[in-house]
Amino acid sequence: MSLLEINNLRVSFHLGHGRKLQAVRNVSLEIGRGESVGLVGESGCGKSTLASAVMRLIPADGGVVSYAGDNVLAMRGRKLFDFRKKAQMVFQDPYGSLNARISVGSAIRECLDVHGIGAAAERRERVVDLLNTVGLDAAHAGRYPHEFSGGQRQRIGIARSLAVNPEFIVADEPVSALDVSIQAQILNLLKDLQEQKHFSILFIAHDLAVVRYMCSRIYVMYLGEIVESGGAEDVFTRPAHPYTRALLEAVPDIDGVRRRRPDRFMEHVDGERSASSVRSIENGKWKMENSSPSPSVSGCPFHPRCSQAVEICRSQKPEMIKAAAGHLCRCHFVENYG
Amino acid sequence: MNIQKTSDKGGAQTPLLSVKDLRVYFRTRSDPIRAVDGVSFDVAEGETVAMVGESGCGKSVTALSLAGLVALPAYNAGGEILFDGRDTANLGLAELQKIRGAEISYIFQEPSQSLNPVFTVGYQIMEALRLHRGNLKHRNFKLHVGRELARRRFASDSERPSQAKALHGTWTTVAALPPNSNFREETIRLLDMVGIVDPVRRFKSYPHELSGGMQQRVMIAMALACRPKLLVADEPTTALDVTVQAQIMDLLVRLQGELGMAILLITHNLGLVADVARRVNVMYAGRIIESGLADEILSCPKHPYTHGLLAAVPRLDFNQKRMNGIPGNVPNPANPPAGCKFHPRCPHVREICRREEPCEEKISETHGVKCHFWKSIICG
Repeated sequence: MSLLEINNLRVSFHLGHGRKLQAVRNVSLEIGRGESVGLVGESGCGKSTLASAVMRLIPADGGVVSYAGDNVLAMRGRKLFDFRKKAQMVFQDPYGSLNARISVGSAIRECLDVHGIGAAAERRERVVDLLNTVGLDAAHAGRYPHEFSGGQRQRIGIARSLAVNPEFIVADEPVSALDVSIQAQILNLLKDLQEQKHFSILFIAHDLAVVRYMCSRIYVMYLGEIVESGGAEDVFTRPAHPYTRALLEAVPDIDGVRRRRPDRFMEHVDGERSASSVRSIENGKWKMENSSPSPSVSGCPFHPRCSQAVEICRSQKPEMIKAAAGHLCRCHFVENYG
Repeated sequence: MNIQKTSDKGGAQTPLLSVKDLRVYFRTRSDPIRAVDGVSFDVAEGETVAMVGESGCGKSVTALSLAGLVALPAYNAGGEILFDGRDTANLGLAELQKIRGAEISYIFQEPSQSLNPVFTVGYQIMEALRLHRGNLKHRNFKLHVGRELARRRFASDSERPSQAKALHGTWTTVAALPPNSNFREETIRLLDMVGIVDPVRRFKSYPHELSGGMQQRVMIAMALACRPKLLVADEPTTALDVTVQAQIMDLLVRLQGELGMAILLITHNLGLVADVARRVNVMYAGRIIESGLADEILSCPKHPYTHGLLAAVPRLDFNQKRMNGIPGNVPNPANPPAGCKFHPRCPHVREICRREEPCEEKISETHGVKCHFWKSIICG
């Protein structure tokens, strides 16, 4: 049985004047026990919003998030408190997510105090344990965040999320603010910890290579919808959706094999012009819309940027279609790939 | 312009930019911190050179010092920066202002922080044109000098967003002057050149109305307004999505072809380097520890640090069992290790590395490395 199951989750933001931005549109997603699942997409596609809604940091409009059988969105009081002990988050910005005026030891200890873990006397030891787990010393407990580098701060963020022994961790772009050398250390740490402690992880990133390393299953998100999902190996070696293919194409290749690639699948991003199509910004990115939950672009939301778009893409919205076993894709022409 | 040509190695053409033994230190209460310690490199006309290294290795400080943009507590402690026949390390403020934005331009990592939120993007691009080509002067020069001094005195990390403003003069005094219609047309042409849809309408947009990719395009338009000979791109795509990153890099390469400027690309992303750069300098702890053609560095790195950086890049093309990070952290610049600065993190460390700092050794005419044991490093 899966640990977390999201069904038709919808999240929107009110923009004033009766306008609404539908940031997450009917997303369904599943995470098994001990599994690591990746969520990828460009900035603004709603991945962090989705995570925040699942963690009950922002309210959702509708849908069901069931965690071990309980609906998270309906939890209140004690139940919600317990859920927050089981589910933890690691944030993107290791500079912004630590309070500058609280020593690192106290920041970690706070989680133990709040949830009443261990006797007060044991907590100090537990803090030291946690620091050691993430590769820091006991001596670091008395120091303040500014005394640490970005990588060390991210280790502290991880230690803090581990303090309550969670079953489920949402890592929202945990390494995108770090240098590659440090990034590798943090990824290895997360992977090792997961193997030791068997928590599930929802790993949000825009760096596809990082996701490939961390995750066994991938969801690709575009404009608030899941457009492709499947095993990591499948999605990376046989991407079915043109958007996924474009994302993969855009990653610079270290071997220099693909130097100066010809124009990619992607025609334009956020209204920037390309040779073949000139569109205004409203069409490329989010469009303001009235309270209707339907997408503002008719047909497939990706069609304005898709080089293979034909008539049906403009008029009819594709459903999630099976591309292979366990591999779904929201494209009319899924059978043409793979 | 009368450019004094000095002969360079082996009768090769004089490079556009030639940095020799540059030292930039940060003043502290005790010993100065040596952020850049004896860096030498060349950039030829129209060439793309990459500067690679982790945060804190001194690559941005090197870049800023090219146009005299380092401010106290940082100061130039020696070396020369020969740009087009002049030593920008020893030029006065008035001379530097003629060069900044006109001959050496910058684009930075976070476009939203480099643009002024209270002026339209068109106005801000036009400002560069008016300052360098129009009748617009740094009119209130006293005020400017006062600000400059204040900036130097209180310069700190929080000052960094104002770098771009400093480049294009003081906008507070500039704002009072009427716009010039010729420059308006030129600006619209520039917006069009960097691929912005509907440039006439976008001329009047404020930065917050644009996405990150569009803002970076505006920064590029601003930087290229006066046809600089050298564009310094300091992590130009780090804050952007991969798809937008690909577009911005394509744009830079295309514009380089059209305008023929040289690019100094500062980045920690070796993938980007493979894509665009001809030559690469790898920096560590304020020194260039390996330099060479991009092919040499990427396919046959000789320094263990370069090797480590390459191995640390997450791979998309195959499934990795384990990531290869470089253990440890960048050394504290206030208290650097003795000997080779990389030795505490180096897998090949031996006794001599702890004592003696290696000198640069030439592997080929273009490929140099600072490592005692480069011969034993096997190509990765």
